[in-house]
Amino acid sequence: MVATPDIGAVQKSASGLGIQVTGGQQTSSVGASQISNEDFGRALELSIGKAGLFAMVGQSNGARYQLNAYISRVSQPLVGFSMTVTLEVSYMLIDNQIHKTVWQKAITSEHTASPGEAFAGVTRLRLATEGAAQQNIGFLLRELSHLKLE
Amino acid sequence: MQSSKAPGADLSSLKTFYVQKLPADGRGIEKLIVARLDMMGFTASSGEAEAPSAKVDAIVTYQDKWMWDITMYMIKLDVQIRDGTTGLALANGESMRPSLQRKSPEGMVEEVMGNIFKK
Repeated sequence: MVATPDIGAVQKSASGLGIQVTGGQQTSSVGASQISNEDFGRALELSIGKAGLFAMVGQSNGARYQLNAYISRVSQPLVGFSMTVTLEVSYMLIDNQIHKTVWQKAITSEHTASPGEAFAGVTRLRLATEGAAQQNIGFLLRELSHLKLE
Repeated sequence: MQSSKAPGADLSSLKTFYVQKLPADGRGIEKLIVARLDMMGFTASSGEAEAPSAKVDAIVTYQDKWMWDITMYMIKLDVQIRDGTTGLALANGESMRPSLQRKSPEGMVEEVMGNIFKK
């Protein structure tokens, strides 16, 4: 799920960023692939870290900024040859120094896994879910890269 | 059945709701949600527009999925409660019921909305 989009020149913050993810679900042994808070949080941490947008990423304690990601909708098909998954995440960036929300946005992404990518439907569904998450993080990185933060 | 809230979301302050009709919905699920919200003591309306004509505390969106097993039945219902101003999701709920555990659409709506607003 780690995203590495080409975001061009970025506004880099000299501060740290803490990440909190809620709304995710664990994948059960018999259910469809889900996105857990831990997996999405880890993907956010690695993606934002690779993009170099903040001096430090992932440590909530004492970080200047806090990114809250709320997974509000994961729309998955029940059956199908091509599987399209839609993911919506509501993001909120909080400046802990002034206790204010400095940026917030709901980002929706979509990814389709075709029969050529995997024979098993459960695998196509997992690929589509992961692709939607990766795309969502990519959109987030583009948004964050334009913010002027301290 | 699952539900969750965004960090810091306070649903107790919400009084007025607008249910945005899903374009593909031909079964009037939005009206069931409005009726349920009315029964829960809220003021609710619905429409096809993305935003209501008057300001509301929250906008409700939903996605319903149906399957066929002798008859058509609602297998899954997802509902999102969004901030009336920003559109950001405050909470969501879902219910998934295979054929042998099926409920009426009214029952599914009651289940999901009850779970979202449970104290």
